[in-house]
Amino acid sequence: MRRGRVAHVIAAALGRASLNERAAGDSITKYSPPLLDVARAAGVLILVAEDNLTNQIVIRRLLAQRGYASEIVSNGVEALKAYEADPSYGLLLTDFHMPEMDGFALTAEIRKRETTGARRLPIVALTADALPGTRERCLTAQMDDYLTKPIESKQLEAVLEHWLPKAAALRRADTAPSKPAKIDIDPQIFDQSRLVEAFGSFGAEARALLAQFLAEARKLTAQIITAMDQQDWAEARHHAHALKGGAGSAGAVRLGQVAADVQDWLDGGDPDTALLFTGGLETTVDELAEAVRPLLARGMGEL
Amino acid sequence: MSADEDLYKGVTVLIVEDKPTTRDSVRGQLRQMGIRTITEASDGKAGLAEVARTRPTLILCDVHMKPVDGRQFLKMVRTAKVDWVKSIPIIFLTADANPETVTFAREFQVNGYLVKPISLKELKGRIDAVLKSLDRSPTKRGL
Repeated sequence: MRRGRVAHVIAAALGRASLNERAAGDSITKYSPPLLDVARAAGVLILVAEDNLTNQIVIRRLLAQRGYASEIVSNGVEALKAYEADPSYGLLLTDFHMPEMDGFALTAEIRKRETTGARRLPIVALTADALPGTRERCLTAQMDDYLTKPIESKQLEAVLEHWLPKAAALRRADTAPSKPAKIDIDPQIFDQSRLVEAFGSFGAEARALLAQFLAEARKLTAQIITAMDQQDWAEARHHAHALKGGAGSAGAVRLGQVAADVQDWLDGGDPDTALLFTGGLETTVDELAEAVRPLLARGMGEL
Repeated sequence: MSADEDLYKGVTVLIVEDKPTTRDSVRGQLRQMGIRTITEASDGKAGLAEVARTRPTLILCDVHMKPVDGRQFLKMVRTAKVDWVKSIPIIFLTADANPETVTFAREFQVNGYLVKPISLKELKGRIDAVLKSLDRSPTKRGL
């Protein structure tokens, strides 16, 4: 009964399925992805275009956990280059906003090349802003579906099962159950389940990602503050959006919310109020660093 | 779950107070009541950043602080353009019960005015009354 979100919403509207259905059943089987070459040869390799480093790692891990092989590029230009070199990808996951070439331009370029008789590539957008009309925007742009960031494992799986059904045959189920993290941290500050979902457990890789996100968060916070000081609202908005996205993937709940508040009030044309939230950013990064210190300090052993 | 646990579930209290000893004693009283999530700031400016960050359910605020005092803080919160910010209940904690401050506090809809030293009973009585008057259904506090 799992479908892509767009199809699902339509189905729900027609009374054929309930939206709650997707939330049902909490047990998730862990898989290993096929090798890159195997996936490419079978036409099920997923191309991911995403500029945010934290998101890149989390998406790759989420896909691998679900048994999907992926190749990651940082913008639309790179994605188009990869597609032109070999159009046999099974699916494209693309961010809306990227430097060089955004998700819309990328989709247009790919669709242009497909008119020569190539197989239609399923294109699924990734967006941090699930605004009303997003679905229409995607469909108008000739995209097939969309996912909201931070990406949830189950939604991702539902979308992939719908648009790339033949990939399921190539994935291998893992028998080892994932172990949850055990250190007690206020979930408002840091929700460990986000990285545990992506990495299977809170091991060395998850720690490396978290450490990298913390460094990125400090940099983005400084950039937001500088841009706000210089009244460069567009620049501040850009960095706030990046911070929101990274925080969502990393599980930095409060930081993501404060960054979202900054972005939302800038979008609303109210920099004064955005400044109110900017004032809370540094403390929130410090608070996060402090809260996750015991997790990062932990040795190489799994929890 | 006891009635108190239920009332304090999901509650975050912000203490805005410049004297560390007073912050400690108020925090101690809140913990005794069973309130778990407590956040603190040492003046009105830091308090406002803390409001933005932690979205407190309730604020306990001193009046005399530097650089930004409790009155300025109250005014900033009440005149904020963000609905959930301006509607956060604020209880003044002060040794100063002068009529001018009381009038100002009323004008900006303070939700309580406790004169120091404050007993646990007084504090709990006021906080419980304020929390009971709130509609704290989860949908009202989301993004």
